[in-house]
Amino acid sequence: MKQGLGKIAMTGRSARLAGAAWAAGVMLAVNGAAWAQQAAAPAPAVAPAPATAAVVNAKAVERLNAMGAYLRSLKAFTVNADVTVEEVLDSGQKVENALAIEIAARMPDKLRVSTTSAERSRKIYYDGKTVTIFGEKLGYYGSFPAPATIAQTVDVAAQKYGLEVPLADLFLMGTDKFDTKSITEAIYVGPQLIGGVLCDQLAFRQPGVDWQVCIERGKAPLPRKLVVTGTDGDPAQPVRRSILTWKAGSAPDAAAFTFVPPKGATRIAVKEAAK
Amino acid sequence: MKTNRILPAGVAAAVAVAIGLSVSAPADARDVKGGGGARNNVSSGANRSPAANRDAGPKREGNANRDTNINRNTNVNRDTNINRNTNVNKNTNVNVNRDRNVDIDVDVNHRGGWDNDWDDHHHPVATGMAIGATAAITSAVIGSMVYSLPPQCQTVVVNGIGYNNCGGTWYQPQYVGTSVQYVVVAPMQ
Repeated sequence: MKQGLGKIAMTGRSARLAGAAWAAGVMLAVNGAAWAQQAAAPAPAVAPAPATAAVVNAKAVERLNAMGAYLRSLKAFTVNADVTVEEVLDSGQKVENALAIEIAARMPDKLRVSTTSAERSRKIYYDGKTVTIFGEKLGYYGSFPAPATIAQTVDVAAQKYGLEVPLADLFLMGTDKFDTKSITEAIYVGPQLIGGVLCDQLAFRQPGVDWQVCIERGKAPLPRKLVVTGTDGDPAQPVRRSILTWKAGSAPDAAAFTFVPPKGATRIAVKEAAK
Repeated sequence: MKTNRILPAGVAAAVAVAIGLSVSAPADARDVKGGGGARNNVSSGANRSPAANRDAGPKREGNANRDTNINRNTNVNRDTNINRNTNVNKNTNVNVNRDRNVDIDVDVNHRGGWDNDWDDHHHPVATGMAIGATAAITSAVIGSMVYSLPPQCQTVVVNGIGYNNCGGTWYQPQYVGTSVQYVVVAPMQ
């Protein structure tokens, strides 16, 4: 799939540093006391103001950081994602592809990711030492040595092997690899019900990515919905939308994260990404 | 609202009236969405859905290979299996294996290459950028890459790593991200 996996965190991009100082400046000018920071202004009777003034609602960023901190506080979790990936046909029409992702994680160094669609299934295993990718139907698996934590492994997989771990942002949020300073716009969209769970939908813009997250209200601020739109690629801006169902605190036993080749499976090479 | 409607507005209204619904339903929806100053940010966003941009895609047109398997079979086959064989040649090396016990050919050409697992080693192929489609035995240049193998291959393990011997042409399957590509290599035996 060449649409990319819609990761928000951008690693090793100069845009991140360039954006930081400016975004910080904007944030200082913002009063973070209220969600709806424009509500105090008199309602415009005519057309809304041109969309040039970037808004960074500090409260929205705060909620995002709280979610990141909560995610990082979890010692184990299992999350199922119902994912819709838009695809743009040559005619310009957008169509949707569906896939299901299951992520099981034990901090700091156990991860298992299954992606399943009608036409392709892959499993990724990380047991603290080795990453293995397995295509069950093909019967092929390939491995490479991995660093000591999930967050580091997600980075190495992407940069050295071109292997984007789906929803890797879930492991980067709340760390310095997820740089909220590069956010140029942050708004509160409003409350939403996702699968019956009340959450607050926030929308962010940063160089190359527009994205939204719906964060559960209450003591467990989990992301319930994630929408990612790449803005520097296809001008039709296909969207990747994930509805997340959580079992916070719950994951399989450690042994389940080690790949054991089934009978008949063949080991194949893993290509390193071009430098 | 309009852009999200599948039926044209006139038809939808007529249907709504015909089944006794009040046409005020959209207004209700608007009430829900309308309150609160902050929301205006959302609906006035310049990035909303400029359809005008959609056809301007330099990226989309840049893929020289893409047109090779567009619109295969379109709707011709959809209602019957009988004619399917007559169209096979049109598709040359694409789509032959794509049918999966159904009588509808998949019309979408996944852009940028896509190996799917359905037919195992013989999976059908979309176009690749620098990468060829299904391997043709006669044109196997060492170092060239394909997304799928010709039929009749044998898996051979050499030094713990799997290879495919397809009628004397050898391929090394490898993971590139989550995709499997096959590189033509010198014969291993």
